[in-house]
Amino acid sequence: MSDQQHHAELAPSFHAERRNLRAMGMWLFLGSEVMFFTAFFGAYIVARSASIEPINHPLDKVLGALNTVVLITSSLTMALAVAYSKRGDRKKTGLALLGTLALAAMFLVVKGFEYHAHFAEGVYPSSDIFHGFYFMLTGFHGLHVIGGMISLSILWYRNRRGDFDEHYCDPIEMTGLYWHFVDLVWIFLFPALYLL
Amino acid sequence: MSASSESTQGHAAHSLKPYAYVFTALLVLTALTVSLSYVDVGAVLGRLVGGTWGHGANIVAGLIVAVLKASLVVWIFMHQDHEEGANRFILGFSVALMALAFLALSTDFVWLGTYTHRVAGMLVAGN
Amino acid sequence: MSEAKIERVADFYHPEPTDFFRKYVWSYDHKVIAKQYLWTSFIFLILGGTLAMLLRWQIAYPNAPVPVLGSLLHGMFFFGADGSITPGGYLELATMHGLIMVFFVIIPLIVSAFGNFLIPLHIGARDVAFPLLNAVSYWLYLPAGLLIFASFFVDKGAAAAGWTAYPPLSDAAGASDPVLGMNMVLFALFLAGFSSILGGLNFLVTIVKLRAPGMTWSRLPLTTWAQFITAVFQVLATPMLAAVGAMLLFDRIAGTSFFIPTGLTINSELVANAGGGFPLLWQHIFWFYAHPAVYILILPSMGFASDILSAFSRKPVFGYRAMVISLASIMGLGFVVWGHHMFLSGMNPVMGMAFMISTVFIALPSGVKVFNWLGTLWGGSIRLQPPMLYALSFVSMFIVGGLSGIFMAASPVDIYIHDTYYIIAHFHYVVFGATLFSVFAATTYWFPKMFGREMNRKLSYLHWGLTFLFFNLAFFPMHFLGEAGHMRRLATSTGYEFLNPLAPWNEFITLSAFALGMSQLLFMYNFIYSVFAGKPAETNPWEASTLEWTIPNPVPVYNFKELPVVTRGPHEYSSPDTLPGDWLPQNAPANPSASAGH
Repeated sequence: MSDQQHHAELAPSFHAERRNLRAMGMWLFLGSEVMFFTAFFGAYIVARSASIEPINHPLDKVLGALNTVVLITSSLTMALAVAYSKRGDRKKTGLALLGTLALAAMFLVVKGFEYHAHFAEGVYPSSDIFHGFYFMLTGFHGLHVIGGMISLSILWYRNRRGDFDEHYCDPIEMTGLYWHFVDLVWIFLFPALYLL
Repeated sequence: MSASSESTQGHAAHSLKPYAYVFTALLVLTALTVSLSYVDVGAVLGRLVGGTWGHGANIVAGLIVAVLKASLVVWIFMHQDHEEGANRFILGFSVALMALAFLALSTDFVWLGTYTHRVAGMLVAGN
Repeated sequence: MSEAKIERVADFYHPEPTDFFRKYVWSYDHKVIAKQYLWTSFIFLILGGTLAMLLRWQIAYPNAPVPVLGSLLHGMFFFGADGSITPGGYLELATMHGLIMVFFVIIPLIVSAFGNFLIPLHIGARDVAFPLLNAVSYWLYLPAGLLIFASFFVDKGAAAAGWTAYPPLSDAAGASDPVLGMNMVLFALFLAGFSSILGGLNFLVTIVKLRAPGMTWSRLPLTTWAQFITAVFQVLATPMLAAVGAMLLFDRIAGTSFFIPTGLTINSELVANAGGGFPLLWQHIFWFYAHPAVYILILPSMGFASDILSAFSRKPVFGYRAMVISLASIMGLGFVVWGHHMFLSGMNPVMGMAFMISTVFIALPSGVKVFNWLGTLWGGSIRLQPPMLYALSFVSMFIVGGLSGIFMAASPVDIYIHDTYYIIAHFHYVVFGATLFSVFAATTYWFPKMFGREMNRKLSYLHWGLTFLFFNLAFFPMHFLGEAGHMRRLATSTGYEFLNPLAPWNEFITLSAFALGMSQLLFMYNFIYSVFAGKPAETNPWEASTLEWTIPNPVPVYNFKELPVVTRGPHEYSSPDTLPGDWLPQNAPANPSASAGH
């Protein structure tokens, strides 16, 4: 049965209840993601604590700060997308989703630029323990950004098709939760790698 | 179902202003944390309240700002202010586990680092 | 579907598909998915068991050619040119036996197979919270299993650094390192872990949100409570394994040095990696996951045992609330005991003491459960049918395994018995003696509901007797071997003079193990035959009170025609309400005079 047919059989109370199930599922998934990044951050803390000499190499703070601003703004546009979809405003939802996508892409471009600069200098993950962590942490974070972008693209398409209304918009809301988490990881990554 | 009624059904009245405030606050905090990284927080604290503080002061300051930013994102953007208790517990428990892991790892490896340093020092001293 | 809109999530179910593919391959029905896991895990059980038989051959008859298989496969896999098992092959066998049993047999069986089948039925729901995600979980697990199986066939074979994969052995590429095989294994664990996380998430939301009206937390069957706590471990601990496995993979593939210390040499050659890493880091993060993992291996089986013991004693479980609190305590404590696997690792001794204390504490809730099982039996009207026999064996062997665990919890003792056969005895008593026996209990108990037929009782009794006998003959002597100092993961003990007097014990254990393996053929035959040609079973052959026994066999796709309204706890046996019979189902009307149960 198609999405629209399926959707037509479900009462608003169903959508509201299912939204709550999905929200709990998403928070559990985010809990698992917290533990996933805990291992990496924990290992990084270990490397910083146990080494007698400092292991840090300087990174480009400007680019890092720029990326932080980009992600924070993308969180804003994401929150707006959720809010607009709850109001049933399809057009603004689409614009907000597009904005989030564009900012995510910009984040990846800046990151790509940073990676390229490293490689050009002959600095790779294998060069030393700090860069091992740098590439590992930002690499997995970047993978999560890409995953989010795939989800956002699908959402934008579905929104354009008219799948969502003020009763049924939990895919957008759940992706929103995921996207904010991606932002959260960066909020800690940025100082951990670039500033401290 | 009870506590999350605000965020379940569509309703027009939900204002967007908190998002603007949080966004601004996040930008300000970002600027703050970047600026602090150019400052020797330990030295400043030493002049303000006395005592000696090492590089650790910068790390603590950076972490405090990061936690503040994260709290704003979690509370407002992720709507934890409206979420049911179970979902708050899930997040809280995960964060507690994370803290436990960090505590155990740093305890063991700070010890390892200092232990190695002491032993290395003893070897160098010709024991 | 009717014209009326579906109002509640609990009322929704996917209609029964008509084509073979949607019915048996890509199914959203939790009962079908459960059976997919069940069959796949049983096949891996055969593989894991065969690996163990090969291990035992080498231990008892070092460097002797393996009969039949050795001549067929000489020079391939773990066999040398003469058909005997090579030292590297032995390590591969030991590693893969452990990995397969833990990740592809026990966890999928007790959590994914039985959990999937039972949880919605036990709580009065039509399916799990996210049926699509449920299907995805299985289809992540199966490729992971195939990848693990394929890793045997690549050059230099499968992983061979122990199931615990400690670096630097698992990490730096020495000449004997199974480069591709280990990477495949790591990737397979990544997939299986992801499957596990999604499955645990699904079960948690299901149990929290989809309970039938009247199914309060204090009326849940203990099977469900156990699955709930297990799911918490799955969701929060497994990601650590994924992350640390990814770091190991990066060390192996990308040349990073997360676990490789500076200046590491292998065969007097400096390793290519830059260094600056810590082998101890692997141990901490791995065991942060792997200790909760062993609770994943035991908690569901404790749940099965509680409900089965109750049904076959015709008595409610003794101390239901204490059982729940014990489960919750194990969950809380389970996250803070991991260091007891690392007493000899060189970690901070003060942390060692802290872990010793927490580990001794975690024995308490398990002890409470044991006494409560005994209390359940005490004064009960015991029905010694096959599920009960297996469940009783679960209790007795859990006691043995648990007691040996207390010795290890004390780090002074563990310094001596760590990495000896004492440890092997301990975990085989809890994972085989306890958990696998409870799998046999659960299979014989829920078989009628799953397949609409009965397993042959006489065969079950015979299987139980032989398995119980040979299991104890094979594994109990390992305690003595361990105390004598016999190390584990040892390809040939003949290299050590002090172990020579123990050789007859090794042979005795091997012969018992072979008999044990042969006995499992009885169960296999019984299971497969009964699925297709067993005697048709009645709706409730055990006169049990939980909700799954109120619906017909085979269970329809929507489970319950009308969602039950629960009025009683899960063990309504032998109470005044049940007169003149001795049991009532959980959804029996609350007014006792209105219906007397049978």
